[in-house]
Amino acid sequence: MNHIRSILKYAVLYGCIIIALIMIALIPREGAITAIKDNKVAEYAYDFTAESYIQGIRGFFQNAIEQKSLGDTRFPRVTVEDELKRYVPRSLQIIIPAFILSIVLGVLKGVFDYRHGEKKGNVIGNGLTWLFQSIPDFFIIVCVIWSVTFLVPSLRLLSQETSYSFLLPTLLVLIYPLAYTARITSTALANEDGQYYIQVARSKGFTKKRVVYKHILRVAMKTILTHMTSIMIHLMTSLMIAEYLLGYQGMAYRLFSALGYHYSFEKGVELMNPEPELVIGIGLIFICLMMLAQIAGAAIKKGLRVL
Amino acid sequence: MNKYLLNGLFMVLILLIITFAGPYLPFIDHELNGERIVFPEGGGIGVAPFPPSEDFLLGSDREGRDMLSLIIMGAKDTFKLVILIVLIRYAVAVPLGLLGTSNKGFFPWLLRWWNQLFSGFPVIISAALILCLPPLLYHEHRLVLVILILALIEVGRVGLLVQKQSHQISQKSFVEAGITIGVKPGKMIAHYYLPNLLPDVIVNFFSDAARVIMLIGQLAILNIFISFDVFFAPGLGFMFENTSLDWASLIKDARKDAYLAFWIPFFPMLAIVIGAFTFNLLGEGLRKHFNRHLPS
Repeated sequence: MNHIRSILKYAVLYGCIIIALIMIALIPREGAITAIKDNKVAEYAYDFTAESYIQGIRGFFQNAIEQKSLGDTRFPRVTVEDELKRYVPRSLQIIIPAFILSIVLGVLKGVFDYRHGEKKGNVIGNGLTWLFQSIPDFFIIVCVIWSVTFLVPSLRLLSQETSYSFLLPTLLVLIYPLAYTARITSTALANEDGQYYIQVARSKGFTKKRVVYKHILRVAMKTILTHMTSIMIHLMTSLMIAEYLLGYQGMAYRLFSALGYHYSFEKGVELMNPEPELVIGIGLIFICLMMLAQIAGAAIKKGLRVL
Repeated sequence: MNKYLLNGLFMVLILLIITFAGPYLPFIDHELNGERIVFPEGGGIGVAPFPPSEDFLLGSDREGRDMLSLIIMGAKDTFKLVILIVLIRYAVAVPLGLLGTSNKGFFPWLLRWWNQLFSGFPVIISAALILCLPPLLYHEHRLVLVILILALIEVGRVGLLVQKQSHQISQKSFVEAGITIGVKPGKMIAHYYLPNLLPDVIVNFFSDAARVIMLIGQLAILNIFISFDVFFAPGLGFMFENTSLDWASLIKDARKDAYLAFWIPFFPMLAIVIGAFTFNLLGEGLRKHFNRHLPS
């Protein structure tokens, strides 16, 4: 009964997120810039009418029901689904390995931090994890890109034509979620300090390492698994930055271009061909990934039989 | 010895000096007048951006303005922006959290939904989605609206933290004792709740400041600016002029400049990193300071 209740609760929650996404994406964007005061000051005339807003939303749902499609893109005869088919797999190639790796390596790093945290002069322990968490992810990404391009230009890591083109983005996207996982792991482990079950296990003669991995980590997993969606969020943030900076043609990159926001040094900010339907499409994929992360967390919890 | 706190305070001191005394230093160019083309003595023509050299310690931007001066003059704008966003966020979130002390009724419900609705997407994506809407893009008070939006997006998360904690405090026996002896609600909040809430609120305040400065940097990488002016130039059409000197707006063109003139995005980014790092250091140091009575 409890399971059904929590599933229902999340269904309502994700439903609300999807509705909010559709409502924001479909806000009408028509408006005109005009010059006033002797052509010196620009004024943007934007008149919002509830009618055109409602009409837009109605049109979107009508199209979804009748054509079984989310809508069209800025290119002729290319639907949102076609674009998703093209861009989403490239990003999934990064997200899925990065997500699994950041959890596995993050937990191992967290255990390492916990076991070696007290030692002096330990440069790769807690301090390093904390440092990686305090530095903005974009700076780490930019630094890695620079060192790769300036130091080993022959490796062509930035190219998208090589078979290993997804390696660099995966690595870049991985760093920040890994540090985050390591930090929550070591905190969760430290919170168990002084519990009786640990003393009992130690008194039976198990080694410290065995007690950490077999006893404490199992309990700490409960806390770590509740953070699965946060890890996914950190991963997507890094993905957005990494794809944009590398020009990697994945879904985060496409999402940004679908916003229609364009900046150039010469002309400044422009709004060109926004594709609200595509924004909704990619937004839905992001929400699906969040749900997957949550389901994965619940599944691991069940598999480990931690309550 | 609380190394985090000491280092954090030291960094804050340096940043304060740079922010307030920096603009008066002799080698800083207040006017920020740049020349795009210079004619060096040895002959030839130099075209901006100039790489780091004796004249330009950190190089110059595409307008020929000194990067070091730009960063130091922009420090005030940057910190004003960050502190304002976090202050508004806490001014809304803390009262909402306190109103939800009973853990029942409207306010805890509101905070939970607010938090969950915005945690469905990364903050950077929700912010980009909202800030790129045309009514906001060309609004005459864009700066104010952007500050409000960035502040309000995460009110749910902060408010929920406060709410959970004040609910925990309300279960403690000293609070019950206060109720029994008839302490009035106003005094209850001032003398019973706030002293216990404040340490965590202060610690979270600084880690939120670090998050905000990172978010502004991320938005800048995507070229989404906090504020700009639109004006009409005859013959050229509509032009956009960046009106703020904050560090984030100096990063623009990061993708293009990354290979041609790496010093333009690099040094403002480094400034943002130092800013975020200082806030984090201070937050961690204060956490250790407030928890010093607990066994580590």
